[in-house]
Amino acid sequence: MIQVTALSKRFGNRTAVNAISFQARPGEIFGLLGENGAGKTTTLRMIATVLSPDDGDISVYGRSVRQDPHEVRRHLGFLTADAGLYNRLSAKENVEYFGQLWGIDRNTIRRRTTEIFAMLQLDNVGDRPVGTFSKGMKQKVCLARTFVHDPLALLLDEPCNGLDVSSANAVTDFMIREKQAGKTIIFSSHNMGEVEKLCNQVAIIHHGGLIAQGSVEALKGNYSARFEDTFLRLVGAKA
Amino acid sequence: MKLRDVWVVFRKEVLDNLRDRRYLFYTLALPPLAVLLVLFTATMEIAPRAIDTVASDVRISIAVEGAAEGPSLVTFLKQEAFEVIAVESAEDALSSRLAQFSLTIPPRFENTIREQGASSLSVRYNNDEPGSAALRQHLVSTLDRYAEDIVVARLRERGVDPTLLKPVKIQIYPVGVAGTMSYLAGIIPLFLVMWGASNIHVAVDQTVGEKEHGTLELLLTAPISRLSLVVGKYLTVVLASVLSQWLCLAAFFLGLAAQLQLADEPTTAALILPLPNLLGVLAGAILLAAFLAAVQISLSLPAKSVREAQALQAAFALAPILLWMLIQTFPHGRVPFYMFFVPVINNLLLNRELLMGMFTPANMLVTFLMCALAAALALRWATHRFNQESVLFRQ
Repeated sequence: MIQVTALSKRFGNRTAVNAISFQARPGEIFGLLGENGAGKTTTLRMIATVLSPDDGDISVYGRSVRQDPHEVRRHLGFLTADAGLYNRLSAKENVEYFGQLWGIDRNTIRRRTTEIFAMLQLDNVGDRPVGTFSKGMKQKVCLARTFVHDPLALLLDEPCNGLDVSSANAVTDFMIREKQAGKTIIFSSHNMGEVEKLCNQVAIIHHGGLIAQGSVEALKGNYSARFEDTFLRLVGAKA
Repeated sequence: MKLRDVWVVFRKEVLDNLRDRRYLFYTLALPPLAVLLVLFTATMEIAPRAIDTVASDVRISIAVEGAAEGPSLVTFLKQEAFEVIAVESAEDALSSRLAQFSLTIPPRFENTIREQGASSLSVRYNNDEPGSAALRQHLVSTLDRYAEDIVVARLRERGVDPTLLKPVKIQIYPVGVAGTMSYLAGIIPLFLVMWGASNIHVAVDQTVGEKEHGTLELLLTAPISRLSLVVGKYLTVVLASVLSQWLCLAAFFLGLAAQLQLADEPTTAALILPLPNLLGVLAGAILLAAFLAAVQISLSLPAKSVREAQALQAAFALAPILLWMLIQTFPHGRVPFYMFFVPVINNLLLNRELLMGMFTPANMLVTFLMCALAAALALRWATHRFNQESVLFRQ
């Protein structure tokens, strides 16, 4: 479980995240929605312990990011929006490197890599340098790297952005499988169709503040039958 | 900091570097190649001259006007390995650069000498030609020997011991390093520091390069300490710098030894440094790399792009040349002891001493201590920068 409590972050005079609170439970996909610059990535970065909160706290499976960031990192897998890879290393070497950073033994890494590559249909290209891969294949390798250490929680920042249909499907299928395995997933996206299909709970952030939270169905019930219209009305882009 | 985590980061960075053509070229291939290029072009002439002011096999051409007036002098010059060209006009021969020197023998020169008289010889040369002073010295001393031979012959004819005119014979025994090493000691230290500081691309790749490629943020989410991450990367940059310096040094010695062997020079032995001196140079390279690597990482990290970091570091790479020029401004190369407290400068000075065969424990101790201290401070600075959000996520 990930519990975010009164979380704030400022960059100079600008407040990027303003006292937001939400809870993401195991076996659920929690959608974090908002326009560009709303504060989604900053929130995910604070959960991932890359940025420190100015106020508030985050608890990941009972561990505070303020007091025990090292232990929090062990239980998290973070896929950033512009995640990169080491182009001169093979897909396997990329994934194995991160497995080693998480302190996993060599045999376990190899077994996990083989399983994940088979699941993501990367098994035939595992030894090729990722510099030769398409964007879709690279994103699959990033995904494999994100959960090679079998984390309890996954933070996925726009994981389907710019992918073709089959690669995007592979990613969403993966998310559903991990949800069914009891993982806690926080997912940020601009694609309302994906959010509607995948998320159990959503939170909408606007100008750093949380303006709505609940299930997709509940929000649609309050505002509009189409989720996209609901979102636009909430952020004030449409009357 | 866990050594296992440091090793994981270091091993990955080395593997990545070994697959990078820039690393193979700039770090491993270019330093020795550049050194060999310098040795086999510039020193083709300089090295033999450095061994002995003017070596015996260096041919000096001399245009002689009035050669028929001094056949014994012409023969003497030829025996002394001068290339004698008989000409009508010494001045014309020199202005058309037919020869390096011209010699005018006056009419009846040889008869005048034979009749116990005195005469004069005129030597002309272009003093704007490189190395002309050393060659002129050689020619003048040869002509002096010719004149001395005449004096000795005249005294003997009169039954006078020639040593009467020269009661004191001065013998000179050089006890310093051979000329070749002296010459090398003048340029190797600069080469070492230059190549040590030239691995900018390694530091840039591992810092702002990772930012630009979106991998740094993911590394920061790994459950390893920032210190382990920084030290792993830092050691990779240190390794690159040390390799460049050691390869540069090896190329110097091997290249010069090969050159001297080819020239059948007997002075190859002069290239052998005493073991403590060699170890001092090798250890100095490590300490210099330790300092430079930490500074390069610290300077690269805040940059917004690889290009910005490279521009910043280019200025840094010029620093060794400026420092070397500063050292050269001290009269007769006598540098005050306090200069051994200044990192980089002390490394340049210590290497110069060690390569010239000198070994001053105090200088070495101060240099090593100051380099280690500077490296530790620079590494602390680099680690501090890796903990600053404003540096890691500078927009």
